[in-house]
Amino acid sequence: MISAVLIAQDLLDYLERRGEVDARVQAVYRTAINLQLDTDQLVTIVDETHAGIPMGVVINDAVSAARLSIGDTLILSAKGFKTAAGDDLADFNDCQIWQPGTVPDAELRDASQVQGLRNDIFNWLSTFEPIGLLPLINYQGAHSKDDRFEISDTYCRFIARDLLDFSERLISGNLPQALKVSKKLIGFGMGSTPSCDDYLAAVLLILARWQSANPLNSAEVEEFSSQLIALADVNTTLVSANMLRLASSGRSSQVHEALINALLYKTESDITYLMSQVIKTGASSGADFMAGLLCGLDWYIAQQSLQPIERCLEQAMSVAFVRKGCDDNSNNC
Amino acid sequence: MIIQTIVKKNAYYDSVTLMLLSRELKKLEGVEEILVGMGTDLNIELVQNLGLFSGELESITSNDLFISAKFDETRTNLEAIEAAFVEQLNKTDQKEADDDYQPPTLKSALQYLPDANMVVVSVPGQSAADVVDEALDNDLHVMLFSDNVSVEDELRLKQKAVNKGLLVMGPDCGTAIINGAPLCFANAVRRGRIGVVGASGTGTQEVTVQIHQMGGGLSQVIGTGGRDLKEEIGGLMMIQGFQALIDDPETDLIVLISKPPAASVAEKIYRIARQSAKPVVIDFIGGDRAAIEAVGAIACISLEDAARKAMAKLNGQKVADFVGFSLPEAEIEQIVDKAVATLKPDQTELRALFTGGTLADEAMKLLGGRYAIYSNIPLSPEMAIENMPDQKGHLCLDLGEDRFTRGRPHPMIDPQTRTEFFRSHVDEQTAVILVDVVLGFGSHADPAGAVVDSVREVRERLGKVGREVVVVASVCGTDLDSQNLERSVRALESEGVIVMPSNAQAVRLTDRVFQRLEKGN
Repeated sequence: MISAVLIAQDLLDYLERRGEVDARVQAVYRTAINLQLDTDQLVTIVDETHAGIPMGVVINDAVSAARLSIGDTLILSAKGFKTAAGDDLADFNDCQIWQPGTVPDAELRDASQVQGLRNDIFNWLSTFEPIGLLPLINYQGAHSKDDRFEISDTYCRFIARDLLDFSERLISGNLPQALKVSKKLIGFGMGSTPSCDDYLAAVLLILARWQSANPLNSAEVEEFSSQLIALADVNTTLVSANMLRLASSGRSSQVHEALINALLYKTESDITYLMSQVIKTGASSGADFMAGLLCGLDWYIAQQSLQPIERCLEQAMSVAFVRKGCDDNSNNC
Repeated sequence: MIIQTIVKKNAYYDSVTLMLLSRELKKLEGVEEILVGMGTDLNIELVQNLGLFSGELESITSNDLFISAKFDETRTNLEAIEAAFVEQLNKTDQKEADDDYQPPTLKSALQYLPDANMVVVSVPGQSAADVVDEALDNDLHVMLFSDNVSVEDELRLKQKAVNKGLLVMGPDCGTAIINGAPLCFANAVRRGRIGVVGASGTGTQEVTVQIHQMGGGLSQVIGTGGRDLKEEIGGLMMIQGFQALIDDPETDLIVLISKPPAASVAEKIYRIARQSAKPVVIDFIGGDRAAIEAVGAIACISLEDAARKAMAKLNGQKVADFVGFSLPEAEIEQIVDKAVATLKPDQTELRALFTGGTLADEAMKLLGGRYAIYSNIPLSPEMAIENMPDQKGHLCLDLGEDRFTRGRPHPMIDPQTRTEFFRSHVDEQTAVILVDVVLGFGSHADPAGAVVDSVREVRERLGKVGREVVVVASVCGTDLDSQNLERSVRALESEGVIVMPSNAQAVRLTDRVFQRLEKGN
C-alpha cells in the first residue's frame, strides 16, 4: 500500500459528499497520476517532489509504486483509495490536510505596493531566457498595434497580437471584451496545459483573490471567470480545463498560491524564492504563468486604484454582463 | 514537399517533453516545418495558418497529440519522423531519469532505478539507521555518510550486512570509489589493480592520490567508517571489504588503512592477511609493525609510504621504507636554510591547521615523539587543547572534528573555519604554519585559493611588526581533479608557500625547520 502524506481539503470534502466514487486512470506521468471522475473532474496523485495541489494527494512513494496504468479503475472515498478488486491502495488516516484557496489572515497591500512588486517581478523575469510567453511581457501594457514581433518561437509569435489584445482589454476593465478575445487563447500551446492556459490560470487566481477581498463587488469578475471556464471545458485539454476551473475558485498548487498571497497580502513570505519555485514548473508553464501574473497584477492595480464609487459605476455600465447588482449596503459603494 | 500528420489518441505529454521533442524534430534532415501540440482548436488553427493541415486532423480532440510536418519526401518520410519522435521521447525520459528526478525516498529511488545495488545515505544521524535497515532489506550495499549513529545501531546494521554479504561503509564514511565511481569526498584517480579498504577518510584519499601520481590505479576503494576497528564493532566491514578484495579478480594487491585497531580486531585481520594469496600492505597509522610483518604483510610508516610500497610490490621492485624527500637532500637543506633565515629567535611555535583528520593524526604521530603538541585529537590526554596555556606551545588541529563543524560545513567544503584559525591562532611567536589542501569531489572549488588568501592576510599582519612566517603545505589531489593539482600548487607557491608532494614530506620538512630552530639557526 502506498503512503499518503498530504491530502487537499477540497478533495476530502468532495469524497465525503459523494461517498464511494469510481475513478479512471486518465494519465500517468513520471511524478503524477491523473484520475478522472465521472464529472470530468480530475484527482491528482503526486509524489513528494510536488507541493500540495487542489483535488490532489501527495504520496511518500514514487507514483509508479501505485502500479497503475491508463484505463485502470479505482474506488475513491474519504478514507482512501482502493483498486477495483477492493484491495487497499492508499489510506488517508495519518495524512496532513491542506486547505487550498486559503486567504492569509493579513492586511491587503495597497496599489502602490503591488505596483512596486509588479515592477520587481518584471525586472526579475527580464533576466530569464525568454521561453514560452515571456517574450511578450515587453509588449504587454505598451498598447502597441504593431504586429511585427521579433519572436522566434512559432507558437508565441502566432498568439502575440491576441494575447496583447486580451491583456489590454482586461487591464482597462473591459471584461466582456477580454472574454471575447480569451476564446483565441484557451487551449493554445503544446503540452497538456497549453501556454495560454497557464497564463490565464494566473489571471484567474488574481481575480479570485480580488473576489474574496471584495465579495459584494465582484459580480462582473465572477461572470467573467465562470464564462471563461465554460469556454475552457470545450476548448482545451481536460487537464487544463480542470486547472482553470480550480484557479477560478482561487485554488492552485501550494507554491503558486503562496506566491499570489505574498504579492497581494502583507505577509513575510520570500517572494523571490516563491517565484523561483514557480518559474521552474514544466518547460514553459512556469514562465507562462509568470507572464499571466503580470497581466493579472496590472488589472488588480487598476482596480485598487479606482475609487469605490467609480468601481460601482463601472460595474453598473456592464449591465448585460452583470448577474448581481451593486449592493447598496456595501461599504464599498 | 509534402505535408503529413501523426495523431496519437489520448496521449498526454507534459510541456517539458514536447518542447524538447519539437526542438529536436525541427533539426531532422528534410524537415522544413514541424509542429507538435495537443489538438485544441487554437493549435489546429495554428497548424492551418502554417500550412501544415492535413486530413488526419479533422477528427482530432483536445486530448490527442499531433505532429504535423512539412518535409521533402525524397530526403525523409513520416515513419522516420515518428521514429525520431519515439527516440527523442526515450532520450527525454532517460535524461530526466539521469539529471532531474530526485526521488524523495529510498523506496521511490528503487522504483525509479530498480537495478541499483548501492545507496549513499546522508540523512540526519538519528534517522540513518532506519534508512540503512531498509536498504539492507532491499539487498543494497550502503555508504553511510551520516554521523551520530549509535554504536549499537552500527553493530546491528553491520552484522545484518555481513549476514547478507553486503557492505555498510560507515557511519561517518567520507570516501569510497566503487567500480570507478567516486562517492562523497574522493579524488579523480585512474583505475588499476590496487584495492584499498580504509577506515580513515583523508588517509584513504592521500594513499589513492599518491598511487595515482606514481602512475598506478585503483580497482576498488572501500570505506568502513572510523569506528569499525574498535572492539565494539569488531572490524566487521574491514574484514568484509578485505575478503571482497581478495575475491575480486580485478584486484592484485590490497592496502588496508586505519588508526591502530583494537587488539582483538587486529588479530582477525592479521589472520586473513596471513592466508591471503594477494600481497597486503597495511598502514595502521602508528600501529604495531612487527605484528604486521609477522603475518607476511607489508608494514608502513606513512600514508605515502603505503602507496610507494604498494606500487613497488605490484611492479616487482624492492620494497623499502621511505623516510626522506622526493627532492635531493641538498635542495631540502636550501629550502630549510631559506625558511629559517626569515624567522626571529622567539618564533618557535607550530600551527598545524588541518582539514583532514587522518592527515592531522599522521602529522601528530610523525612529530609527536619529538615535540609536545597540543591538539583536539591529542596523542595523550594531557596534550588536549583545553590544557594549552594561553595559546603558548605547538598546536595541531583537526578542524573537521565535530566541535569545529557544529552548525557549519566541514572545512574541506567551506574553508572559513581555517581562515578564522589563521586569524586567531597565528601570532608573532608562530614559526611554521603547516596545512593540508584537499582537492577532489565534494571539496571546495578552490581550497588552495582560500589558503593563499589566508597566508597573504597573515603575512600582511605579521609584516607590520617586522615578522615573517614559514608556511608548509601538501596538496592531496590529482591532475584529474576539477581543482587541478598543478594549478593549486602553483597558486600556493606564488604566495611563498613551500609545497611538498605528500603530507608525510610536509611534516618532515616542518620537523627539519624546528630541528634547525632548536639548534639556534
